[in-house]
Amino acid sequence: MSRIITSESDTDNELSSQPSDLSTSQLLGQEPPEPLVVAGSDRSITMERKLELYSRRLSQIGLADKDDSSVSSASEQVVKTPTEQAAPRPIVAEKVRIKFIPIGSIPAIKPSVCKISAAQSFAAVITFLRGRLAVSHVFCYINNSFAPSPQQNVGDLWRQFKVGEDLIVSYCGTVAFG
Amino acid sequence: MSDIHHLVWNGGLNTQIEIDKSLVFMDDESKPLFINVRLPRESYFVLYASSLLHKIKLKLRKDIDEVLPYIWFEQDGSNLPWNIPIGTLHDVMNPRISELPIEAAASSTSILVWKIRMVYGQELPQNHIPLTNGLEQVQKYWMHQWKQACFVLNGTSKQIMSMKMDDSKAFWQSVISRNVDIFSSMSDKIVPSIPRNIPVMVHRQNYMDFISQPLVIPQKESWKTTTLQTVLDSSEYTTTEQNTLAVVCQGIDVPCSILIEELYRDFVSLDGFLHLILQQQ
Repeated sequence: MSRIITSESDTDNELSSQPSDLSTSQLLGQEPPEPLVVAGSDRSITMERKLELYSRRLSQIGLADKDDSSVSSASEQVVKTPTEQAAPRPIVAEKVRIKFIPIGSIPAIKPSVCKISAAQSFAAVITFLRGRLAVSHVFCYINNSFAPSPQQNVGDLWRQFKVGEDLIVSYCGTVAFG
Repeated sequence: MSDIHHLVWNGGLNTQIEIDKSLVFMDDESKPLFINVRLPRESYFVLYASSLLHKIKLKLRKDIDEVLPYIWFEQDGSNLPWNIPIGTLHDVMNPRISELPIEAAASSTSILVWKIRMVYGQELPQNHIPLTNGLEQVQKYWMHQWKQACFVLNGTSKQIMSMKMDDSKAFWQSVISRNVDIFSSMSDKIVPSIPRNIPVMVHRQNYMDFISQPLVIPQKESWKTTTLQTVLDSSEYTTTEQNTLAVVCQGIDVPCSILIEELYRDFVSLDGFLHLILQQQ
């Protein structure tokens, strides 16, 4: 199995009333186990899935290339990273909504509601916020209560702790809920 | 607290830790340095890192405080994240006892030993949470895990957030000093008699990065009929392969017919979650 990171820098700074897409931000640092990135046309999505399935089948029969490899298309850049620790999660096309609420003097992000692939880890959310706010670190809390582990799956958090249809993520530049 | 939970809390693992050569003074041709120790299942590696380094402090190249933020543990090249209980890490990375060769599992003279490495490096593994604030960071992480578990159990974290400061400190100290009675008295203030949901984390054998957190709700509004099988049935990750999976909790196979609430009360880990490991049969 492989991990896929997609960058669409054009959309990152746009202000819009529509929910934005976390998967379009560039992900650095700790990467999610198997993000499914939806970017560009439906055709590119299908191709991406096919590549991922193909890679998974190769892994299962021991033919996968352990080295990094990259695939790029006209609309997006896809980087594959080593596969040995990838988890057997099913491909989930579902996206979930996250509502970001600033605490204290940290700026609000616009739009405040974003969509993210349910297969991402919470580390991707933290990385997204750090990028949007241009800060070196940010403290995130679910429901003004607890900070989840970076390895936790966003889809799982959404199912467990959503309010209405949104997962409420409060963020702060300093510790808010020790 | 049940006798089973006492047994779970006192469970330990015979562990042989190979020390990274870059940590200690030794020739390239020297034999590797090992530390043999029995580690409790219900604890975190990071709580023992300092005392393990003290055992070899005369051979260390640098001060203990200098190397502590840059060490981690691994098995067969896979990082063992410090933020997951030791027993769970062992069960994820190793086969079940029933799968071991008969002579190893049944012999009265053999001891099962978990062989791992203590590694040192400036570049930390990808799934390793950097330790920037020592044990205080570990305490905060652990407390947030409990807040999360409390939220799942009660629908709010009020029970733990309104805990007295002294109680909160005593709760953490019970983890450090391994005092099961104080730990139980504190956790009893958080776990209600009838939980709303049950905090469960599902791991997969040999996949250190896989953590799934299924929504465990009572079937027909009663925990009396909600079994482990019910949880597996509702899990999107196991429906296609349930017949080939065994469920391991605290090192033992658990039957799918067991009531999930009972399993939680007896087998809950130090972070307030029930850690289940899915292994191939």
